[in-house]
Amino acid sequence: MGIKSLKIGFLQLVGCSGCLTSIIDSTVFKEIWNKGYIIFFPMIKDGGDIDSCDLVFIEGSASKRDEKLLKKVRTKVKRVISIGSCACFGGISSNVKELELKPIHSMIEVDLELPGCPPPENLISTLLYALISGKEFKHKTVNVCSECPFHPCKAKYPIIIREIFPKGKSERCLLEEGILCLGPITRAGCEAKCVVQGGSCYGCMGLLKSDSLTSLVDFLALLAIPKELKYDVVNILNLYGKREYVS
Amino acid sequence: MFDALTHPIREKIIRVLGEQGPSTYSELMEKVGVKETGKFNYHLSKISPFIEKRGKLYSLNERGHELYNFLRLKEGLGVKRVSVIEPTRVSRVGVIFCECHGEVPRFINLEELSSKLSEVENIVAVEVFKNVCSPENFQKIKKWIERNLLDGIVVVGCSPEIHNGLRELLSTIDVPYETVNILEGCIRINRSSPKEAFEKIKCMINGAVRAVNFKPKSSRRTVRIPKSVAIIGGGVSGLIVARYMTLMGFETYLIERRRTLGGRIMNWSSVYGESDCASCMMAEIISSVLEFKNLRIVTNSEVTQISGKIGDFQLIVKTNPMYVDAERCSLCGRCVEVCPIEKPDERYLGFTVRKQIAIPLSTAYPKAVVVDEHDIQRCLSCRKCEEVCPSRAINFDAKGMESIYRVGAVVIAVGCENYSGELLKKFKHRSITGVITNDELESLLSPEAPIEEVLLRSGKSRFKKIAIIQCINEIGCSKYCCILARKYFEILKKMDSSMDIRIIFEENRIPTDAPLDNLKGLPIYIVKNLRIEEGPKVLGDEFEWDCDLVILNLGEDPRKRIMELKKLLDISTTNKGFLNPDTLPFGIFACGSITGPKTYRELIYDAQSTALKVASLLVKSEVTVEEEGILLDEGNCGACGLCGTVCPFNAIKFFRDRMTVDQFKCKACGLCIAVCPTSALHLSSINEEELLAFMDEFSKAYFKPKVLVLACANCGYPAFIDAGVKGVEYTAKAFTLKIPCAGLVNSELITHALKRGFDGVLIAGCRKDSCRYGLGAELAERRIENIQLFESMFRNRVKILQLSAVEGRIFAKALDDFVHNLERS
Ligand code: SF4
Ligand code: SF4
Ligand code: SF4
Ligand code: SF4
Ligand code: SF4
Repeated sequence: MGIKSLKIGFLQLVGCSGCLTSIIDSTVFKEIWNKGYIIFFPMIKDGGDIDSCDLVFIEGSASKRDEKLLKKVRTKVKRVISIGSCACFGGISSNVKELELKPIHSMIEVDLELPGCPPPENLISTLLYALISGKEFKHKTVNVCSECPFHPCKAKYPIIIREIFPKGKSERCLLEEGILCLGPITRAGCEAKCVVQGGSCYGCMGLLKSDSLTSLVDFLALLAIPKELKYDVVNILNLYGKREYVS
Repeated sequence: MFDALTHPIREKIIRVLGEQGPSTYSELMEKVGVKETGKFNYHLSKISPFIEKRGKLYSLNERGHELYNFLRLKEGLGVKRVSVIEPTRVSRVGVIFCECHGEVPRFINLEELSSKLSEVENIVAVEVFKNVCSPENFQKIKKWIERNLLDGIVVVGCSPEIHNGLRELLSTIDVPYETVNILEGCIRINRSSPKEAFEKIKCMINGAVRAVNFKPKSSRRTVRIPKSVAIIGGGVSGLIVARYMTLMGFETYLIERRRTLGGRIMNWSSVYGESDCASCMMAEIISSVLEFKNLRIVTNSEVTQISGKIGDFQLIVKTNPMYVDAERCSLCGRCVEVCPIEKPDERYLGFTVRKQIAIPLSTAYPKAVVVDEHDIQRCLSCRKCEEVCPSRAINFDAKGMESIYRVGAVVIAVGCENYSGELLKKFKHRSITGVITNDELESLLSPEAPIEEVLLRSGKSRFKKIAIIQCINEIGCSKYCCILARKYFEILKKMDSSMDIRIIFEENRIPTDAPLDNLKGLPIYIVKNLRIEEGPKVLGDEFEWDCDLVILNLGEDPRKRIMELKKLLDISTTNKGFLNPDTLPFGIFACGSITGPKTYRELIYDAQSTALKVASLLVKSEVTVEEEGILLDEGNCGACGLCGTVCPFNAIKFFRDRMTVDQFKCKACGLCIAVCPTSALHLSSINEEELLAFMDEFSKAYFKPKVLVLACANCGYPAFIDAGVKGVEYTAKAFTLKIPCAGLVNSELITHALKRGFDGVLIAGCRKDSCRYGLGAELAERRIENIQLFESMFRNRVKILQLSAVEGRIFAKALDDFVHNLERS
């Protein structure tokens, strides 16, 4: 539709390849692969010059070393897209403290971000489709709860939290069970897969409100949470949150 | 169950019974509006599982009530759904200045300001009036609005919160408007810094001019007012209001928790200054209304829910089982004769004996024997009285019931309790023989008291020396205790003029406003470190007195009643802990001692004036009210349920994934709005954009530091106005914005303000225990604690202040300190 040919490149910085794997698994990827749009994909396709791309997807967070590469990409490439929570927020990879890893947007301007650890395949497909067909990609404006089978939460203020992670599979909203769940303040899109599979949402899709601090503060104010656990929550959020959301 | 609802007549029968309580067959037919008995019987039989018949009366059974509640819920549920909130887009704004009796032009040069304003975008007309609030100006102003084709108004002058005239004017204007209260909000508080004040006024007006764009369209609604009133509490106040309402012809329900009417005063011997005995006076009031058909007295009953709004209040009333049918009981006393259970009569200090079933005071109403309900189990295994009663008035199988009343007005006259706290222990009440409360003395003095028997059993032949200890109370002066002391003094002296009666105060506990004048000429003793010892003996520093009887003169204690009311309504209290009648929702009134201690005369006047207020509402056939509620942007709601976790009134429900609000219960407090993580909720009365517009314009003021005060409508803002009324001078570097509740302040709002250039944000809310919405003050406090935990830069810049509506001076002082601290850092 309108777009005859595209050059797309995929870059990997400090990431686990999870995002790239999900991209490969997504349906639209096969389509664009067959069309020959992809000129660069770590370990699969090489040789093309990343500078000549129209679109570059970046997995993983960046260290000081990557700055030069990123700046070069930014000046040459029309659209830069951070893909996965590491690239968007620092994510799991930023746990490696020695490398001082940072999200991509803290080094260069990013045109679009698709968080998730890894991002859901259907969202990747929607994004890829939107990009190749020149359509607008819209982030969801509701929270993970909307996709969770256990909503709405029926607890009453103050919501008493005893554990950060669930011990077994729950049949009710985790907050009602005294388990922390960041579903309410996290952007939807993942089909609440962690909760469905017996875990709790730790917010990898990123916080909903533009200023993450505010949604965090206002949510925590509803919880009665032991002080020692409070810092665990902050640690989780440092992986996926404390930043401005760019979309 | 739904079979019952397939026909409108069946639904109507359920509704009539639910709304109006038990009815006879013919009444029911008439109310439902069916003429043929055959048809009526057919439908009645179809819904027989929901209806029970006792005697001649049809009423709803438990399932019937469930069904009725379902019907109510069905109509009350719903939230206005919106997708985007469109600004009204105002392009022709007019600014009206009020000179406020000359006070405004004395302080600022209105001409200079007007000329500056006419350069502001969108302002097309500026006009100065001497007093906008005088009714002869209303027409002029309306014409001016029409002539200039204005679609938005900014009124600059005083505060509509305290000036009726301005409120009246505003209610006649039908374009969107904002008010800017420069009188109480600037001029009176910033007299000595005219330069800053001028800047402030300019920013305030600019803010209003922008904010009026976002002013939600006023959703005025006309409601019909049912000509009926429910009065909660059948004590002195409740009875008097009931009497007037009945006489004026309104349908009146008088709901009393005890089995007999009259309240605490029924125990009393007399009322000072009145010739009749207290209970006789009550009996007279009661009998004067009994013949009226439009009064329904519901005793032994508690209100368990008040819902609805002006025009349609619903009260759910739970009536406890009536073991004695008052209509049948002839007070023959046969039951009392056969009753085998004897117990000490607490009314007479337990010195005398009564039966488990007993004859009440001769003045009591309803006139029927009374069973002690605490021990009802023992009755169930005996039932002798049930058998002997010649008129079959006793029935231990009686069940309680629930009824719903729909009325046009509600009067809260629940009264207080006598003080029963720690001081009683301190002064050895009943733990030493001869130490009693004045309430106990009252029942001993009542005409029906078996005083000889009490004297005999207490071991004293007579009392010669009596100490009356005053101010047994922790919440300040109860006003009538001094008069009571005089009353006891006079009564006791009349009984025996040789008695030595002393009125004793403890020095450090005399309230500053105690009406000691009432005790003029009596033997008063003011004692330090007052104690009571065995004897009884009254002791203190340099004071020692052996006496025969110590009377602890109790004050009012509203605490329990207030707790109960909080479950029913969003109330706020005065700084002494009484109900603040001014903050009740439109259509709900309060009178009597629950709104503050009163003497008997004051109670009567208060009840009379309340009756008048109620009547002046009920005589209107309809009133216009502002619709308040919440709006839901459904596309953004994830149905997470967080809003429901904080709603103080349980108004939020989820039906198949969709969030809904019970409009009867929602009080538009806005707590849910502040917690919604997806920003899907909005108040219909204030738009967030409106607040932001004010904030943005305020933040343009040149001075530094610049403080934003977010003040709640119930305490913080009234305190701010109070400072203005009192003319307290304080910092000019603060802008105050009114919000419905401190609980509406979330960190998003605070960060927004700080990013816009405010150096500090002060949240002025109610004290936690007097927050009208229960949780608001607490939520605000917790958010601020958290925000400071995570972001150290906020530590000194955000503060919360909890105060009451009359603490303008505290407000001013706190703001001064806050600004001072910001200046230093
Ligand atoms: S976001 Fe998750 S899946 Fe993607 S690279 Fe980081 S850790 Fe791996
Ligand atoms: S379990 Fe988590 S995601 Fe699911 S409804 Fe509860 S809070 Fe929301
Ligand atoms: S449930 Fe939460 S943590 Fe899990 S994938 Fe979704 S957003 Fe990420
Ligand atoms: S808090 Fe907001 S998103 Fe959650 S259910 Fe309520 S309105 Fe919907
Ligand atoms: S929290 Fe307040 S505004 Fe929200 S639904 Fe409940 S009463 Fe209404």
